[in-house]
Amino acid sequence: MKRAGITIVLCLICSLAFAQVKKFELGVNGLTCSQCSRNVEMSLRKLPFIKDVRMNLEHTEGEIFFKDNADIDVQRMARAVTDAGFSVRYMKGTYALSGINVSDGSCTTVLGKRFVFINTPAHTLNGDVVLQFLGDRYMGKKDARNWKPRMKNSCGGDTQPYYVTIVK
Amino acid sequence: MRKIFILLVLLFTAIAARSQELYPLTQPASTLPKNTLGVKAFYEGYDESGTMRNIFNLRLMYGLTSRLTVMATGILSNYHGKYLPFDFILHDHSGGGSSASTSTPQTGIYYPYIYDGTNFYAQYRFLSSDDQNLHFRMAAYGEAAYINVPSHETEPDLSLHTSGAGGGIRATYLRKHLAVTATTGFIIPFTYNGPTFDQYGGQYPTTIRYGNAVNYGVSLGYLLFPRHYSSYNQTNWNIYLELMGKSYSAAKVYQQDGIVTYYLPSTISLLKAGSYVDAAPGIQWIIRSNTRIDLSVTLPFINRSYTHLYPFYMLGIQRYFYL
Repeated sequence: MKRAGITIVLCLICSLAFAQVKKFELGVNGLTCSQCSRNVEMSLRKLPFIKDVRMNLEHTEGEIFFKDNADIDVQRMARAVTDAGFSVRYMKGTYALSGINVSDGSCTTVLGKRFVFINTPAHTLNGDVVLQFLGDRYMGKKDARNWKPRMKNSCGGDTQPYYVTIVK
Repeated sequence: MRKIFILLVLLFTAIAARSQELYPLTQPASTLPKNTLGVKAFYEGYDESGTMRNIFNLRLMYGLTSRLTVMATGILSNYHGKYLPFDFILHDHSGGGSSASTSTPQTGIYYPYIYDGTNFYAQYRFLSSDDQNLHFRMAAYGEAAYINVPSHETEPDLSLHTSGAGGGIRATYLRKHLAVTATTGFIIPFTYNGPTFDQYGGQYPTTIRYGNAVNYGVSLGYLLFPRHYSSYNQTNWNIYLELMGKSYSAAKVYQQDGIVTYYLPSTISLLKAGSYVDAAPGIQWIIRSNTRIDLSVTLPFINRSYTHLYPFYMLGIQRYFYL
């Protein structure tokens, strides 16, 4: 009886968990001209789930907005930058989250994708959370080298999960 | 003149501003974005003793991958005749014998416009090291040209004069205040076989083995305006200085007269080994961050090229299409 009660409570918590991507921000390395910046923007705009891209030419950064209920592929966004001939300096996603439990090194499913939270104390995420994506594809080489020793948990799947850390 | 160019180089490297690597004449080590088509139409020309030599080029560029760019350039000009100039090889039939020798053809001769040929070019970027407002890149390139008109200069040139193949490497270092691209490569021209006609109407099978060449160059770029980027609609004003050189070996010219083939010594400057460095200051406007207009003037810096006279002008327009 007690077990059944716990299960019901857990299920209720599960059903209350909520996630939505509000926007992504990215920094691009190697950019020096407005035409190069435009190349990155046009490469990103080819992706079917992207609604709008706003590049900041002066700081070689950009904001990415998405179509409603789109299946967002972070890896494809990073590849779009390299396809344009440049590399990602940082990639951060602003997620509206509710009832998502995380802890350091734990595997968590967010919007159907497996995330490993690094350098994160155990707590429940509620509200707007900025996640920085870690690894070679999503940050400069020096930063990626620093994070690499902590990116070990593969969540037991065939494909690599997204490694993230909470920025805000 | 030399002092002015040295001063310009120092100026380029000293001024604090954003650099630019979209050189009017030289490719940077960077490549086109993947699945992007670039179209460039450009004119080159110079005054040859009162006759304008006009060369019209249409170039299609495509980013096959983010690292591999391929290009094809079609060339139309009034630069060449269908055959070698009649006064390029002179015959002397006096005194019961005959002899032949090379000579410098008359300049300013009228030639109708003709499709000279096509240049094919591929570049692979094999090294990239990026940081904020900074990159170092290296690329290898290869090119081949099919030119269907004869050249009477030993200097091989796959963009207009000679069929052949070539390759090389480029490195581009780009930091806020400095953009430098260094290029070095080689050109192996194909041998020309065709008839020449002398001043008496005689026809002689002729073979020219053009010189092999090593080419080298350094290009610098500097963004004049805008001082700060705020919109794609700002017209970019860029200035450039490109130093481009070549060292080539002498030509070997053979002519058949009846059953005898004669070797004609390369006694004229056009056929002798040589080396030179040209300097090409240029200006560029990039409109709406896509349409690019280039203007450059090539001048002799160290020695000179015998394939054209100076100043040698280039005016081009280029645009990307994102497929």
